[in-house]
Amino acid sequence: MITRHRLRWRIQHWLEARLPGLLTCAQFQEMVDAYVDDELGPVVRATVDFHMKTCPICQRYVIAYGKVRDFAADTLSAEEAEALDVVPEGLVTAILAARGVGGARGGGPNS
Amino acid sequence: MLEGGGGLEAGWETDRMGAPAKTSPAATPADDAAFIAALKAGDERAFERLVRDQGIRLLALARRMMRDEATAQDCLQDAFLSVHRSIAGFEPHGSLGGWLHRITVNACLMRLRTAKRLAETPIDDLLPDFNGNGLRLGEPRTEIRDPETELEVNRVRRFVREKIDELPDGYRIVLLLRDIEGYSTREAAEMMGIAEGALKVRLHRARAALKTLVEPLWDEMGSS
Ligand SMILES: [Zn+2]
Repeated sequence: MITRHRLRWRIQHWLEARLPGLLTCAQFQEMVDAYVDDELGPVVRATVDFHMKTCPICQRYVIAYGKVRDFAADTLSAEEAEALDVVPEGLVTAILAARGVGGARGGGPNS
Repeated sequence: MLEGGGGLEAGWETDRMGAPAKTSPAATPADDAAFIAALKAGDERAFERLVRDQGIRLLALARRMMRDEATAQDCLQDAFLSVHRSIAGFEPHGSLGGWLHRITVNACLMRLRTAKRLAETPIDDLLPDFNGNGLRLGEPRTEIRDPETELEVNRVRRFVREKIDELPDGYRIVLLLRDIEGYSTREAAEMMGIAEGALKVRLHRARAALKTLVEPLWDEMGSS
């Protein structure tokens, strides 16, 4: 049977013969970070955009990739906003004590 | 011990007293010239103030990096010991907050390195696959959509948080430094002690692996 991959490969092969400089999915993958971080120059970006137009799987991949990066940032900044609003008193004491001891003798943090 | 500052009556002592410190560096007198001068002069009250105000966000940073409370607290102690030792040489070309952030990151990295937690372990099964012709393999996953309700937002955050922690430290830390803490590739590479190219590869693997790990949630939530 003609698998979906085989069909995609045939189409891509056909396109590549006519439009040299097309990216394979593997080459596209190498540019995914620069793409979502908006670090591509206009020419390369156009090549990447073209691959996405002809390859819905890569298109979906890169959209998800960017979203996950944003979710990670959102998750951890939300966590920071909920963080405690005082440093535990025992820790403050330990830090202040370590400073007195550590500065002179390089000793441990606990007094 | 806390009276070492003598008669220092700088503005930083009076204008913020009693105001609860928040995580934003802007809510502290950290960049006030008089406050920095007091720190440099070894004023103990100023140092304690620094610990109480800046320690909140620095402890949150150490927790993100270390994943357990006890080690995070150890790192914060290491960091403030470094601060105490080097504050006299602090040159305010950047912000004091940024300097403290960097010192804390380095204190965490030092402990991670000592514990051999920064190695690049194989995670190939979490990375995308291509055939010999460079064609992407595997069926497309459920489309990742934005969460719509508060319930979904919380569910996504909880799940993503869990999955970030499942990444091996060598990748997780690179992801944190670049995507969360906002360091450039060059800065993050310097901190990690690896080449910029190697850092880019690790960041890519970290992001790709996290994507693979979180996708099952959208299979459950549906793609609207
Ligand atoms: Zn593709």
